[in-house]
Amino acid sequence: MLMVLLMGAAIWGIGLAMKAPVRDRLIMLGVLLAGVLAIQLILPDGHPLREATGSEPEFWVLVAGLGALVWGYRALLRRLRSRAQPQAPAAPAAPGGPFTDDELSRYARHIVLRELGGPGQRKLKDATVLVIGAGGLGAPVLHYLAAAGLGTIGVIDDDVVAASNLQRQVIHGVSTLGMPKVFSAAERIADLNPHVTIRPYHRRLTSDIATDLFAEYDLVLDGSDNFDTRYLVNRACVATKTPLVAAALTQWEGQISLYDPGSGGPCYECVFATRPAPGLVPSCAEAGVISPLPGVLGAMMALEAIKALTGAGETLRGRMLFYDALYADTRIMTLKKRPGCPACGGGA
Amino acid sequence: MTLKGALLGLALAYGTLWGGAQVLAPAFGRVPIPCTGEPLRMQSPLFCATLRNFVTPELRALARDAAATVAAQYPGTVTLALDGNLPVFDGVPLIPHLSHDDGEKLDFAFYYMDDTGTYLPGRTASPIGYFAFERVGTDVCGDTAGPMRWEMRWFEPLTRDLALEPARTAALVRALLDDPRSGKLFLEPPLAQALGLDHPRLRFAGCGAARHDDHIHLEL
Repeated sequence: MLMVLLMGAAIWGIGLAMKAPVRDRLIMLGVLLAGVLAIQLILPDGHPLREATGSEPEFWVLVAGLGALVWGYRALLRRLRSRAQPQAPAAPAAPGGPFTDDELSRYARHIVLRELGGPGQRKLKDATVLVIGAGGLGAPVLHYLAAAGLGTIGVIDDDVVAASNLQRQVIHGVSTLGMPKVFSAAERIADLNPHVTIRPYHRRLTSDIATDLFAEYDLVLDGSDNFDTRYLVNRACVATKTPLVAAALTQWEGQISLYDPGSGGPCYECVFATRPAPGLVPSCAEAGVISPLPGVLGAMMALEAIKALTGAGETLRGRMLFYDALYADTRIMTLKKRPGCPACGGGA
Repeated sequence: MTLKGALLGLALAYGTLWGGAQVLAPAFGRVPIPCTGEPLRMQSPLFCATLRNFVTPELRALARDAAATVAAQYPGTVTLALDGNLPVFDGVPLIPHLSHDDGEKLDFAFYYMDDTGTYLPGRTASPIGYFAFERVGTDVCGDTAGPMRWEMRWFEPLTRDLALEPARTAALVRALLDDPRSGKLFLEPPLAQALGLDHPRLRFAGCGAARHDDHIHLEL
């Protein structure tokens, strides 16, 4: 028996020295074990070779059984891991590749626009954007960006679809009640435009992931409904030099701007230096919101994103647009960097 | 060698392996969840026999405390644990779970009641603790379900017609999440909503992972 163990150790050691793959070394050990078993089962009792490799085959049968168990476990695990890998999409997006006939037909009304054209549509296809929240603002943003042909859209939200959302969050429906909003939105987007790669993140945005996540995207659109998230989004955008389109609304009014301190504009915290006291600004749930208002502001956010990504026209960088839906009134205010801004430094 | 001898040899070999694992487990930072007793034990001795009941000491203490909290709230409650981890080796998952590989994950069975609403201590709808899905509301994944989200329809005839006991199940989830040692807990969103549960560390495992409306998954 000792001789067999020494032979096994020698096979392993030589294989190691020759940098043979583990699989090959295991096969060699298997061959050795099979040989020993054959000797034990074929040769008669008392045969010198049988005595030298252990007089009874039971031990080697157990060793072989244990080896088979480990091999079987590994094979099963490999199979499970392979199944758990994300499946390749049926029609993989091909950034950089030519437009398909379906895409050319789908984006024809964009391609004829002088300010956009084929090059602009190409920029949209190659772009990656992250949408914070799949709620009132996120719904129209996701709808229009997907329809416009954004190549990759990430969306992060930890909420599930509730009946009270359907009054304004038009990307969800009765059939998706109770479903995480990001998956509900992903289903709708896949139906609307299969050329878009959608990355749903069903979780709350937290400071420990924000910077790494934002670094994967060209632009962020913030449709969140609370100040903690807005300040967190701004800090992460500043840290990663990612332009931010942010809007906010309540009841009949909304506001929107593009914050891009990396290109000389102010950041969100330059404009909103201090967050309102808790309870001072009521949420949509508390104060209410008129149904089409998130649609108006969300569509504006998508439009600002398209302009920022393609270079068309003039964005709201350094300006804030206010929309008063009750009196059909719009105003624009110029924004400036705030010296000493703790988020972006204010250019100091 | 006779068949009886072979079986005896196999039993002896497995017994040695099993006993060796019990001895070696502490060296790998693992301790067993008890197979008997109250208020916490494994759902079936089979988990112990197949060495699927090992976790880190911290996780066992957390599970014991949570079980004791539920038992204090509802006397006579027995909390049943399901798959933990192997007794040795980090990085070797406990098949079919791909995440139970470091002693820091543990599944719990739901509590169940009979037709009259009476809690049934130590009973589960599924004989193995898994795959008796609650299927509350609309399926959260629909067409986006991945290949690891097993539906196990063929297993349904093998499950008992028992209803989930909501008060104890919600109490266990709360006890686990209220403990600062816990990391995150997986439950299907519609079930969590039906149980009135909401917590930042209460998560959905995603459509690429197994369903979590037949058991509770906890990790440090």
